[in-house]
Amino acid sequence: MTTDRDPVALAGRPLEELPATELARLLGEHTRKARLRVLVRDEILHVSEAIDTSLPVDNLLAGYAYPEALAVTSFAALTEQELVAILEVNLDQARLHDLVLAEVVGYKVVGSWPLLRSLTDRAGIEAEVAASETPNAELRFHSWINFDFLTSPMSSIPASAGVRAALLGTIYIMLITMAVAVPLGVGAAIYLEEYATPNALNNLIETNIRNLAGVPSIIYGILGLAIFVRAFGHLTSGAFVGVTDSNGRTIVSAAMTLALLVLPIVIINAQEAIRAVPWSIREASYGLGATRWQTVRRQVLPAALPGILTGTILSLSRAIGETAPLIVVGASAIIFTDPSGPFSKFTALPVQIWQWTARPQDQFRDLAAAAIIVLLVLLLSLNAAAILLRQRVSKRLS
Amino acid sequence: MTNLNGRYAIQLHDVSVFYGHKPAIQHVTMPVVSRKITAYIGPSGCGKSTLLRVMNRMNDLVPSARVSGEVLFHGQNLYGPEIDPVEVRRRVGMVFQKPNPFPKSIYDNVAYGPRLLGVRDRAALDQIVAQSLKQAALWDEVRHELKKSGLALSGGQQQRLCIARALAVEPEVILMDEPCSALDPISTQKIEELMRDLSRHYTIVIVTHNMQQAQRVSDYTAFISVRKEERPNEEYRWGELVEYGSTMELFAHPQQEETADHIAGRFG
Repeated sequence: MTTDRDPVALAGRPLEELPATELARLLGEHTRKARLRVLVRDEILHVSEAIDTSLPVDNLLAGYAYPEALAVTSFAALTEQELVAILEVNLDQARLHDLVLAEVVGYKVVGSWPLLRSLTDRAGIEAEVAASETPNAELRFHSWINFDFLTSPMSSIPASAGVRAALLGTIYIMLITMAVAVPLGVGAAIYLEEYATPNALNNLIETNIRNLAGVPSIIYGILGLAIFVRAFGHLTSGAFVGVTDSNGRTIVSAAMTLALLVLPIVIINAQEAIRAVPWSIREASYGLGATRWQTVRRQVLPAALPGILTGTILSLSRAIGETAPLIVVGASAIIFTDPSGPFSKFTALPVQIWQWTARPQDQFRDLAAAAIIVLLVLLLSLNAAAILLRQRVSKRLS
Repeated sequence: MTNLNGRYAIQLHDVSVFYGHKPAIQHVTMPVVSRKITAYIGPSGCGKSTLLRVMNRMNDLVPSARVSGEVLFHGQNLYGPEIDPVEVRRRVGMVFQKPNPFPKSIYDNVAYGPRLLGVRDRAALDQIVAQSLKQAALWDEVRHELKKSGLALSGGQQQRLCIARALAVEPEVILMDEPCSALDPISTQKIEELMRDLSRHYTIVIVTHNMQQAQRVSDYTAFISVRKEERPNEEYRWGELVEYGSTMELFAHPQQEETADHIAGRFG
């Protein structure tokens, strides 16, 4: 990596220790006005198209914080200090620190080497760095996956970027997906196996469920967009609880879409599990004067539980890796804040991975690889949990 | 027919069962005598089990099954519109061909029925479980391991557990569908002794393949035989009641040639 300026010389002490005001001052002193305007656009407004700079501040930044005194000033007429003041009231210290590193210190990752080579050929890498013509080059050995990677939010500087927002987004989405899909799916399976009589309508429903399990996920994404984001936007946006910035592209919408996606899989697996319960057990229960529901509740469900659990975890594993429907439903490509609840904007691990691999800089691909490992570990630990749970439940039954 | 001083627990009146449009058993009229053992004998596929299941409405669980005729229980038609099949099964218990204990502890197996009826009191349940297991002659073998899984018992013990489970809801009639066909001779003997014991308090109906068993345990025997009819593209097979009488009479002096052939092991 290289730096344009020595970060410690800049303020006399390590940048991480500086308060937000100091960081903002540094940013204002060393950054050109046009660049500061771009930062306001990228960091606060989160839009990628050009903005009309002739508008006054209160119009352009409606809904965001800005110093009162600047309200009627045209955006184009703002000085460096005034632009920095706007950044300062909108961003926290950590984010300002990242910006100072990127904009003032000029902290850049120039190249990276694979793990195997850095373990076996350290001298070679060092020689390569020494021979390179990059000014202020500095070689650092560090793993992309570490505790900071899990706990830092997204950043435009690869070295300080993390998966925190994406990881939390994925966990929130999965929790809601399962809360919706499991009761519905198991309920449907119970109805189809224990209550429904084989007639034309029920056969049609069953065939359809089987077909739905094979529908490409992006179709579900479009369905989710049409239903949860558009048609029920007033509910999924959380407007009724006072959330205004999400426009229906929320965790709830994403979770409902994934719930639709996995519902057929949950139903089919639960049906198989229920069907595998021997008929003799049902007969014994009915023979003792149990009602249908008592038989289902006390005999069939407990005996089918291990199978239902396995099916549920399998469908969870499918949902956790889905990217396309989330993008269609409106996952935010760049998000710096943690999801604050079911009605907040979101991103998820696979979306984050996809977004990082689409970046031109090599280092984001390293980040993507690290995020893939995080996703993989999450997935494998879920499956392991499923196996353990299943074994405990079946042991209790036999 | 009237209920002759409680002499008949169940009276079948022109009972036929169809699966879809195919008859399984037709035009059966006979009584089941109270606190006696009635045995059904007959060749395979003659509808003995189907007829047994008519008496506690277990056939309701087969969507295509249809029952016509009357099954009178205390003078009331079990297939009347106001009858709840769940209630019927509480008063007419059943023991199946293969022992089918629940994958639960011995205690929970026996307590299942009473719990369905809303018994929650621990002491009352303990008492019912103990009494039912004693009645089923299983108490001495399992009294110290009531927490053990019902599936860990031997086949004969499992079947006696199933009988205890059926007794726990205090039925008036117990239907037994070839209860010994999956058991060894010693277990069979125990179950037969148990049936003789139980018949002092309960009405028992048993389906059996084993002629000697019918002779050994039952007071009354009904012989059911198969009728066939060629239809275009398919063959209809159904059962009909050939002869019914006291076991001693029926085996010593069968009135019908078909019965005599079956008893003697000659099949036409």
